[in-house]
Amino acid sequence: MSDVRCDHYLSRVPFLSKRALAYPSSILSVFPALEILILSGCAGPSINRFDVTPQVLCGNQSAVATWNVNGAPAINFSVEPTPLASGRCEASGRETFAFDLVVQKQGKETGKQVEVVRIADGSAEPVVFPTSRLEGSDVVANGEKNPALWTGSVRIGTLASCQNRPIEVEHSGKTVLLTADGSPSDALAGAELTGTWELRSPLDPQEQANPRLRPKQLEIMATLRCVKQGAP
Amino acid sequence: MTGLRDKISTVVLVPLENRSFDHMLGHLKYEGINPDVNGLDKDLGKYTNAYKGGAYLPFQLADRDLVSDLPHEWNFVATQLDWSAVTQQFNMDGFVTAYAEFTASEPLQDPDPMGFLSSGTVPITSFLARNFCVCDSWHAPLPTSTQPNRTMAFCGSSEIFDTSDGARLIPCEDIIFDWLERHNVRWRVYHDGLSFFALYPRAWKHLLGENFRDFEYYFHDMQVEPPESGPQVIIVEPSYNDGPHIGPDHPNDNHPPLAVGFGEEFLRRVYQAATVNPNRWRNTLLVYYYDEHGGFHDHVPPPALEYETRGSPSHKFTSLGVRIPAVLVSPWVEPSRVCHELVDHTSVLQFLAELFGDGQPYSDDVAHRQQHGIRSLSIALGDRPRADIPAVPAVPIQVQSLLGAGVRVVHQNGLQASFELAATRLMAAHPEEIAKKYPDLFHWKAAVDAERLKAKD
Repeated sequence: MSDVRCDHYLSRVPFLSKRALAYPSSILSVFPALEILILSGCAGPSINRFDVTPQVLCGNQSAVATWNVNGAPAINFSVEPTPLASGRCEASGRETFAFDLVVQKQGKETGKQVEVVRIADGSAEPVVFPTSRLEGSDVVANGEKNPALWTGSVRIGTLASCQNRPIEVEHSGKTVLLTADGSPSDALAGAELTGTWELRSPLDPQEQANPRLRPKQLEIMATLRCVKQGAP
Repeated sequence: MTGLRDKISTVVLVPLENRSFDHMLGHLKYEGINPDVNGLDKDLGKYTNAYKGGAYLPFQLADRDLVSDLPHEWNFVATQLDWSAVTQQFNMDGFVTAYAEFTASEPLQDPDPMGFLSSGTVPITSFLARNFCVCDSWHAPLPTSTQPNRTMAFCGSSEIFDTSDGARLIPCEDIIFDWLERHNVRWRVYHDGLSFFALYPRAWKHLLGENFRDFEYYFHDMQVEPPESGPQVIIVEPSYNDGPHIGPDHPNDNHPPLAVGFGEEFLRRVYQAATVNPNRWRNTLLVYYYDEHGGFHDHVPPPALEYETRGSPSHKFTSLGVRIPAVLVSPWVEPSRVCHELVDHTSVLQFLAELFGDGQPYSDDVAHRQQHGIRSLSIALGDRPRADIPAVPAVPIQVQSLLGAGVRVVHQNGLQASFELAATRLMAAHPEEIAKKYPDLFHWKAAVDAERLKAKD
C-alpha cells in the first residue's frame, strides 16, 4: 500500500491489522461484513479523507471504512472504555470503538481517529438541544438529531423527561407531553430518532424572574430499537 | 503586618500553554481533594455540552497525545462560551460544537475538549495545588488565542486579536523587560530551545544578551546565586511544541496535542530548583499558570470586561477569557489555600509594580483593568511564612513518545509559522550571536531546508 510511485489503489481487503488481530472475535461480531476501500494518492504524508460509515451501528449492521491518503496506511482498532455514569440523562447500552488511521511516509506520520458506536434494542440515547428562545412563559429548544450519525434504522422505543420538569415534544409530525416524574411514553414508538425536534417546557416563577436560573438545555431520553433499513 | 517587600524578593513566572482550569485542576473538587475549589462536581451531567442533539459530558482523560490541536482562535472561543439570550450569560456549552467545526468531524463520545485529568495523571500540578494556593478565578485576559494573551501578560496590552492568518511577529510598545530595567529590577529568562520572546522584535535586543540563559543553568543558578545579587524576576520557559525542534529534545509546554507528562516533569524540575536554596526560597513567589485555555472545557462563565485591541483592524472583546489553571507557590501561602479573587495575567504586572515600582501603576492599561475588578496577586499572600518545604513527589511519570519524527516542514498553525519566521530573521540579522545562544537552530534550519528540497523533488 505504498505510494512511492504514486500508484493509485482501489481495492477491497479484509479488515485485519496488528491491533485488530488482538480482538478477532469482537471484530467478527461487531463488524460481520466490514470491508475497506483503499484509495491512495501521491502528495503527503497526508490523509485526504477517512470515513467509517455508518458511525452508529444498530444491531448487526456492518460498517465500511474508506480512506484516501498519501503514504503507507495502517489502521488500528480499539475498544473504548465505558464512560463513568454520573447523571440520569446519559447514553447507556452502547459500545464505542475507535478507528485510528496512521499514515507513514519518509519517517513521518499523520493520523486521524473516527469513533463508531454500536447500539442494540433497549439502548438509551439523550436528545438535547440548547434553549434558544422564550415563548410566553415557556422556554423552547430545537434542532436536528445529527443526520450524519443517526440513520433510519434507529427507531424510538420510548421517550421520557430527564430534567425533573414537564417537556412537550414535537417530532415526526406528532406532539407528546412528557411528565416531570420521568415516566416513559411510547407515543412516538417506531418513529425515526433522526430528524428535527422541538422541546418546550414551562418556566417556574423563579426562572421567569431570574434568567440565570433558566435551563441552558432541554433534554429527554429515548430508548432505541433497531430495524432493517427500509423497514416501516 | 509584614510589608510586601519583606515577604517577596524573587518572583518566578512559569507560563505554560493551552489548558483550562477544569481540565487540569477540576479534579481537586471531583476527587474530594479540596471541596473549596470551584472545580468539577461529581454530577458531571450539569456540564453537558449539546451538539446536534447529542449530549457530551466531561470525562477522565488518560494522558496521551491528543487526536489534534483544539480550537482556540477568537471565533471558536465565542462558540465555546455560547452567549445565550435565554439565560443572559455564557452557557459554556459550545466546546464540542467548536471542536466539530474545527476538525470537520462528528464526535460521538468523549471528544478531547471535554476531557479532564485526574490527580494521578497530573501528579506535580496536583501536588502544588494541594500544598500551595490555587487561584480558581484566574481567567485569560482575552477570549482568544495564545499570542494576544501572552502579549497581555508581558506587555499589558495587545494590538492583535486574531492569529489565524499565518506567520507574524508581534508588536509590543513596552515589553516587561523594558519596565523592569526602568525600575532597576534584575531579571533573567531561562529558555529551553527558542524563547517565545523571539516573536517580539521589541525583545530581540534582550534575547541575545546575558539575561537569556539556557534552562539547564536554572537549577545551579538558583542553588548558588545569593538573592541580593541574583535576578529578582525570573521567567522560566518550557520547550514549545510549536517551536523549532531537532534531535531528542522533546517539547514540554503542554500545548495540545502533547501529552502532559512532559510538562509535569518540567514542572517538577522547576519546583526543585526554586526550593533548592532555603535562604532564597523564604522570599520567593513562583507563579505557575497558563496563557489560555487552549480549547478545553471549563464551566465558569468569564466575567464581563470590555477591551479593544489596539491594532488595525481592532476588535472589541466584552469579557475575559476562559479560566486557566494557576497556582501560587510560596512560603507565604498556606497549604490548600484557595484564592477566589478575580485575577488575570495583568495581575502579575500589578504585583510587580507593587513590589518593585515607585508607587505608580504598572501602566494605564493595567490600571484600567485594576479599576474594573482585576486584583493583584498580593491578595493571596499571608502574613506569616511557612517553615516547611513540601517534598515534590518522586513518582515516575510515564509518557508515550514517538522519536525520530524529524523536523516540521508543513505548518499546521500560525504560531508554528511565526516561530520559524522569527528564527529565520534572527539568524539572518544576528548570525554570530544566534550561533552562541541557539546553536541548534542551524542544524534545524539545514534539516528543514533539506526536507523541503526533497519534497519538491
